[in-house]
Amino acid sequence: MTQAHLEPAPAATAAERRVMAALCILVGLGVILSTVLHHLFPQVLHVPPNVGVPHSTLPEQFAQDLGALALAYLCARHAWTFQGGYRTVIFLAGSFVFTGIEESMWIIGGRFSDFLDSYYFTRGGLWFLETPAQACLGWFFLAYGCMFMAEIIFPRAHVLLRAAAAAALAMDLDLWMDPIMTRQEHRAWVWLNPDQVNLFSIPLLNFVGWFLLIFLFAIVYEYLPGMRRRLGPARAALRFFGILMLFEIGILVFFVGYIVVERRLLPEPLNFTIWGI
Amino acid sequence: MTSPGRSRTGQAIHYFPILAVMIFWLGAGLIGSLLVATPHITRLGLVTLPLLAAAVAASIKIHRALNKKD
Repeated sequence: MTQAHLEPAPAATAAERRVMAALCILVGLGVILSTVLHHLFPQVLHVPPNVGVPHSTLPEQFAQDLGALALAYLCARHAWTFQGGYRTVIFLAGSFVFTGIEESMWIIGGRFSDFLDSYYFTRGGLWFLETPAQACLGWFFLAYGCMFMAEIIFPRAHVLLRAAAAAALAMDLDLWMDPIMTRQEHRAWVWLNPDQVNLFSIPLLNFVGWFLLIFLFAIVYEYLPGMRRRLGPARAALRFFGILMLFEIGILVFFVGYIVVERRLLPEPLNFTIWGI
Repeated sequence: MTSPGRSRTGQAIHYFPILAVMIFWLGAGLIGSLLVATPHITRLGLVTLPLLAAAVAASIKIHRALNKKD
């Protein structure tokens, strides 16, 4: 841990505040439109009905959002204090855009094609595309928390090592969360097409995805202050989100290639498990 | 942004990211697994030992750094 971790960040400049406002408006609009579409016009995106899903009344779904919001607040408060409003809003908006688009790509893609290993989320008051806002907020506080821990433990390590450590910590937690949350008692999300290789009955690609998303995000986020100094807040934000979009395409291409190879090599699904989980 | 200061709240902010992850571990992980009718699923939580070790190590480093600063 270095002294920089203990010092509060300076207040955002006027130019930074404009970028922050623009990002908040864009993400806010995305959430409002997606929420209306999901709850009021479910036929448009073929939203499956929540028959038999526990705690899925509308008030319960909004109440669950509050839990994610409270945990996200803890990380946002920390980030705002020590990294400043600009980086905080970029991280938060990045969580929605990066993880929301990545998840929705598989969710919506799977609804209209049999090729993709797909799933869907059952509960969520607010939505971003077809990903619940609570999942985006959950990604925000887990990614931020794990990146923070990696930074504190390895303050002078190379950026790639720190990013890998953060991604490994988040994936480690996911190894436990996914088998719990997909059980009949919770059914927070449902897997539609089983993968050829599974770990604890969860597609291996899911864990690879968790690692990749946080690893790549952590690397770009690490370079954000440098981009901000060189390009100014608006162009730095554009470049930041542009790189994330390129990563999205890269991840999609990698996963599609992986699925093709996996299906050729493995005719029968494999499940690596302990205690039959 | 004002300094977090030496008050308890000011000091607590340093631990907020770890606290968020640990509350999630406890609520969604431990309590969530106990609600599942398969006892092995709680035992599977042992896979998160590296995360717990990292949380303890980071907390100790923060505590030492704050003491040093004071």
